[in-house]
Amino acid sequence: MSLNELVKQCAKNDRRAQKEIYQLFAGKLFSLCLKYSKNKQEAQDNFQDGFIVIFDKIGQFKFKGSFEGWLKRIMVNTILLKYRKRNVLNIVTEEIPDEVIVDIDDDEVSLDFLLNLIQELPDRYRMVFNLYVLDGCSHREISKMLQIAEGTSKSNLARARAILKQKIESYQESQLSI
Amino acid sequence: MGNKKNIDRLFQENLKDFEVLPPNKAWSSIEKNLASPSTKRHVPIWAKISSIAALLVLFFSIGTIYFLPTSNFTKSLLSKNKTLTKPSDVNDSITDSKDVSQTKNSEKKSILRNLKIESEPTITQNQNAIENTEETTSNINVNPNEESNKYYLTDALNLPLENNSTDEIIKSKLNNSKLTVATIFAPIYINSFGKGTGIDEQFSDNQTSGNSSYSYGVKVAYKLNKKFSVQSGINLINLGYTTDNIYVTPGIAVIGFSHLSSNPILSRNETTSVLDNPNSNILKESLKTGNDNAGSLNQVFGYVEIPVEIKYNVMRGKFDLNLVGGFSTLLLNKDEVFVETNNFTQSLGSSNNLRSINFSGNIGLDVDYSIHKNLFINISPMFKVQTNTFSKNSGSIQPYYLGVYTGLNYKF
Repeated sequence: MSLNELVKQCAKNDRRAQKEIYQLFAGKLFSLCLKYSKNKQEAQDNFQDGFIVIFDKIGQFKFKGSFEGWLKRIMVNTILLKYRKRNVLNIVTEEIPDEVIVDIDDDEVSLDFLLNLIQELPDRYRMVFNLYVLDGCSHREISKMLQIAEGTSKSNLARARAILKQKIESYQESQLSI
Repeated sequence: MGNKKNIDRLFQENLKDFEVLPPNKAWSSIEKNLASPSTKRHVPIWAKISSIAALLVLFFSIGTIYFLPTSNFTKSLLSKNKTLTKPSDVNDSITDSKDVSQTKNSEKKSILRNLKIESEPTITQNQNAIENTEETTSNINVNPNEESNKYYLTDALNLPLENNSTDEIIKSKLNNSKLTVATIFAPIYINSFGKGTGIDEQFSDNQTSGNSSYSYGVKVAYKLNKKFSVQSGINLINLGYTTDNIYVTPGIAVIGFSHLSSNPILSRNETTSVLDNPNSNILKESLKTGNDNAGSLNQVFGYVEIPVEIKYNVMRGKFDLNLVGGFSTLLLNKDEVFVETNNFTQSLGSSNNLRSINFSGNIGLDVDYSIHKNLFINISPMFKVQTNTFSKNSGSIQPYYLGVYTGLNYKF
């Protein structure tokens, strides 16, 4: 069965098609959730909530553009809605250079380590960093999605980078001292 | 030390294409929250409507069991002196029904017998027995149906309602509410088709007017789809009629209204004692001028109203416009007749020709105005015609009422 067929069957609430779609995209979407969420537990909650929304709205997919992109957008939106609600961050508008450089070897850090660093970021910083760096959104897009000013998005990104850099460096120091 | 590297590139390279599978239990908990596919597709709208209607029918019929054997009802039965069935028929029906009869019935029987003996001791033993058997046979006839109905209905209800409840969990999660609860208040204007009053045939030519009143209660609505909703609820409603041009003279005009169950005792204040004066000229004069002893009869009765209505959406927007149609079951809970003159008001007791259950057909408009996410006001002018208010012919009277039902609604 083609992907389009599967999507149509899902819209008719066909359980078998739903499971097939789930299996096709579970890996990609769950890793997305891991990046956007605070920890693994929340990632799992978000993943489940997002999939329920996906199956509820799957009838609205117009078969224009990539289905995977559509799935990701819904998933990200579900998560954003959740974290936007409990957003109490002080906005710091300070000028930090666009580029942040770290001294690092590729095999020095693990994927798990990097993922952990992202998860530990404050909610808003994590959202902005993910959207901008990993999913290629512009500050204008981010400002609309998060309902913040573009300048806020930029300064959030800079703060996120600074925090990440600082954490990587302190990790490297701790490794050296051992 | 390693290479200098842009921090963005570090994360991009490592995280862009990584894939982690969710834990196995994730699918089962998602599946739990999805609407069950087979049953949801196979429950058509008519089945949903009829299951809700069936629930209400069940509700009414339970109500019927408790409301029917009131003293009013038995009294009105007793006031007929004719015997309707031959004794042999009665005997047959007794033997038939014995198999089916339950302890409940025999209890009722004894209660009924007691009631009748107390209230009307002049009835002969024979008649009494016949009356009783009529009562019991009708009870027996009703009850087995009730029983089977109950099982049938609950069976029919189990499936779709359970699905609805799981449905509702998901729907509420997605902020798509279907269930609405509302408080209702309505000013009521009552009047009637046809001539006459509910009190006695002798007043059928008198002018009768309805009294303004009010109704209040709660309403529950369930949205079936985009266009149709079913609504029901429970309201208390007070109605009243005033029959004008009544002349009150103690012992003559008032005592013995055929549809009043108790004999009135007029208060003996100044004016009535004047009327006691045997001088008939004065009496006639006062009747002509019609001042002191001219008055009106107020019949006041109240119902517990259980409406079942279908709402059809005509227009959607800031204001939602709907058409509403349905019927109500009315259970009598208040019944009193007053005579009222310029000088005194006296209760004459309750009327015995009001049916303890009657129905009304309802039709009207409904305008919803949303004031908050889950909160909306609705204003609904309704026109309701009662079908069988009176158990005996009291003129050709058929009450109707107009009410503007306003309510504060909360969506779940």
